[in-house]
Parts: sequence; C-alpha cells; structure tokens
Amino acid sequence: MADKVRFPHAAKVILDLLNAELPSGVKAYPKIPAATTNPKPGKFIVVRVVGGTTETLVTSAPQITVEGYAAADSDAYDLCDLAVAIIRSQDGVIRGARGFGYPQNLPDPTTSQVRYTSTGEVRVWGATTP
Amino acid sequence: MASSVRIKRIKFHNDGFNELRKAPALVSDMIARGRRMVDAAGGFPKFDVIVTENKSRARVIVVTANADGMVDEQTDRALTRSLDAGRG
Repeated sequence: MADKVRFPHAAKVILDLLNAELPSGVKAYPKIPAATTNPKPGKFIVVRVVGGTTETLVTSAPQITVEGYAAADSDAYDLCDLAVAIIRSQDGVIRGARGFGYPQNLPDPTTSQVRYTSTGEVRVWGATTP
Repeated sequence: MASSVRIKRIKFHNDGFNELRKAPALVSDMIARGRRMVDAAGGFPKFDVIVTENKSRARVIVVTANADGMVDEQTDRALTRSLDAGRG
C-alpha cells in the first residue's frame, strides 16, 4: 500500500505563524472578530482559504486570501503587505508562496474600517503517516 | 549513426493560433467552466458568464451580476471561492 500523505490545515498554520510574528496588539483571525469582542480590535488581519489544488504527491497549493483591516487606509495596506511578507518568508511546513497580488482596497460593507486584501497560493508540504 | 536535421526557419501561422483560440469546442468548454463557477458562487442572477471574442481569441468572464452578488463577494468571497469549480 502506498504511503498516506497528510497535509496540515493551511489556514491554522498561517494564523499561528502570523500571530507569532505580528507586532503586539495586532492579531490574525479566521474571520472578522464578532462585534461583541472586547476590546474590539482597531487593527487586525483575516486569513481565509478560498480554494486550491493538490499540487504533487507531497505538496498541496491552497489559495489564501489575506485581509488587513484598520481605521486608516495606510495602516490597512501595511497590515496586508506585512502579512504577505511574513507568509513569503516561511521556510518550514509552508515554503513557497506565489501569485500574491499587490494589496487592493476592497471596501467591506459590514464595517467602516478600511480593508486591503491580497490573494495567492502557498505551497504546503505534507508528511507521511502510518 | 543518427542523421541530424538542421532547422533553418520556423514560420508560425498566426491565423491558425487565432482560429484555435476561438474554436467552438474550446469556447464551449470555457463557458461550461464559467457556468460551474456561477453555480458554485451562488448562481444566476447574482453571478453571470460573459462571453466576448476579438480578432485573436475568445474570452469568458465570470462576474457579479447584481448587488446581492457584489455583497456576497465583498463579505464572503463567493466568486473567489468558486475558482476551483472552473478547473479541469
């Protein structure tokens, strides 16, 4: 029987990486924090898996959207750009990011905060399991 | 001993490439991919497929077609998520 290759949950891996490297006071979430979150974050990042493919026997290529939210336009851009830079710099389970576009201002109708967003693929390396 | 062949000139027939990029079978395949994406995103009338053709190629675009579709993309990335439905 061939080896079973399992792939880690890309969004969770990226969230953990971002939360370890982001400046204090800024957190990454899998979705927009609820309005009841106390204190409501002024700046935050949202990471979503929006698709992807199994690339090879040992790599998968999930498509990731990174969104930076802040009150000021330049802060939202900086957050999105920083998150993409952190993802690109990885050299572990995730190594190899490609196709991330220049952060674009995509207004979110559910909040008055500014949102900048970038979407691209990351290469996630799998591991064999018994 | 293998004989060698020297290629002195390659001539591309651009009309052939253009014909291929507008071939009905190809366009049908692209439209089918677009329709799968529309269905995956939330269906018509929120999303729609637009087919265009110019001198050199045909193009299929999947778009948000009304305000509800735009909101679905802005809040939940419905159209972005549908990309996989358009793959092979």
